[in-house]
Amino acid sequence: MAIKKEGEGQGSYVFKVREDTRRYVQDLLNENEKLRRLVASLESDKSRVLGEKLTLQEKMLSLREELDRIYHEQSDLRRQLAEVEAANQHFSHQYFSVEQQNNNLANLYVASYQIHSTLDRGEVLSTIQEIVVNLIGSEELAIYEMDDDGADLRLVGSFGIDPVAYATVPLGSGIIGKTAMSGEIYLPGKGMDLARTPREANLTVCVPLKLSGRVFGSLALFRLLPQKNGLEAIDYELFDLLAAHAATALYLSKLHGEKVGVGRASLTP
Amino acid sequence: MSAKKILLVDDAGTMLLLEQMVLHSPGSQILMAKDGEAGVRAALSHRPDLILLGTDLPRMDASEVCRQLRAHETTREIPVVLLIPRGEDENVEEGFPFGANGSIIKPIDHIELLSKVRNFLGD
Repeated sequence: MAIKKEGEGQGSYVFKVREDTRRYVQDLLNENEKLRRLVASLESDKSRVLGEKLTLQEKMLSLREELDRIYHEQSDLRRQLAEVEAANQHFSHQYFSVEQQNNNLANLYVASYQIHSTLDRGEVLSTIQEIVVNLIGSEELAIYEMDDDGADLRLVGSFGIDPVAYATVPLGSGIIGKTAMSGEIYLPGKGMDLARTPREANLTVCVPLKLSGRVFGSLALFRLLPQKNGLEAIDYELFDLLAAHAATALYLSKLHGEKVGVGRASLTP
Repeated sequence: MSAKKILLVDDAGTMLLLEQMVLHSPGSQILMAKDGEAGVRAALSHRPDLILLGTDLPRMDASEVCRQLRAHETTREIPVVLLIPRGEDENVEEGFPFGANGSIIKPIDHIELLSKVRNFLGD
């Protein structure tokens, strides 16, 4: 009985060990299966990630190409913009230049038109004054005419100066007298270094008024208006115009005055 | 410039002719007056869109012209630009209290004149 019990005890133990082993194996198998699935899952993930990476790389390549294209386009647009800006600037300069020429022509037209628009001596003198004040930009001027004997210049019109102090200028005296003698326009810094008389301290320009090459009178400009930064090309054109046309207009107005005077005198009983 | 009436008031024929040449454009109407009284009369009868007013005017000076223009209902709103012969700043500043809307200093820069006129006319 005791032997049997012992045999039964051994059998039970073996059975238990076998069962434990079987469960252990089963657990290992289960664990193995889990790991296999995990590996499969990781493999799948890896494959997906690789796929995505490939796609991203392709996209990145595509974006780089797009970026290059945009850079090129931008560069082209910048170049075109620079060309357009240069053309625009060129046209702007041309427009300004044409406007300036138009303005200069308008000034010259107005000056010559106005100076010959009357035979009235007072109006001629007034027009010369207007040209100097409004077109050249000086409010100090003296208009002289040569005396009949050609020895002195006599003041016939003035603005902004004391007419008594400037009443006569002997020919050859000071800048005004010398320019009347030489027939050359006196301009500041134009190579003429003529001695000034005290009353010529503020003299800026002196224009001999010539008729058929003979000096008929003189136009002296003293201080320029404060806003004038200096003489411009159009001013020189106006001096040339005045040199020729002012003399003609003054001469004609003088002749006209004498004729009208004679006419009136002859009508006087 | 579209068809607008501009009144020039200046005693200097040179200035009137010059302004007329610079401002003339197809359809525009340039009116001119040689003294202050004539300027006010022209403004009242023609009601211009803009007045360019010289300052050294015979018969009625620029400040009185401005005062009369501002006193009349029909001319109250018309912009007035003074043409100032001297460049001193005080003259420019004095221009505005008596009702002027702007100023241009003589000798006139044509481009500046056109630009200001266009601004005032809204062109």
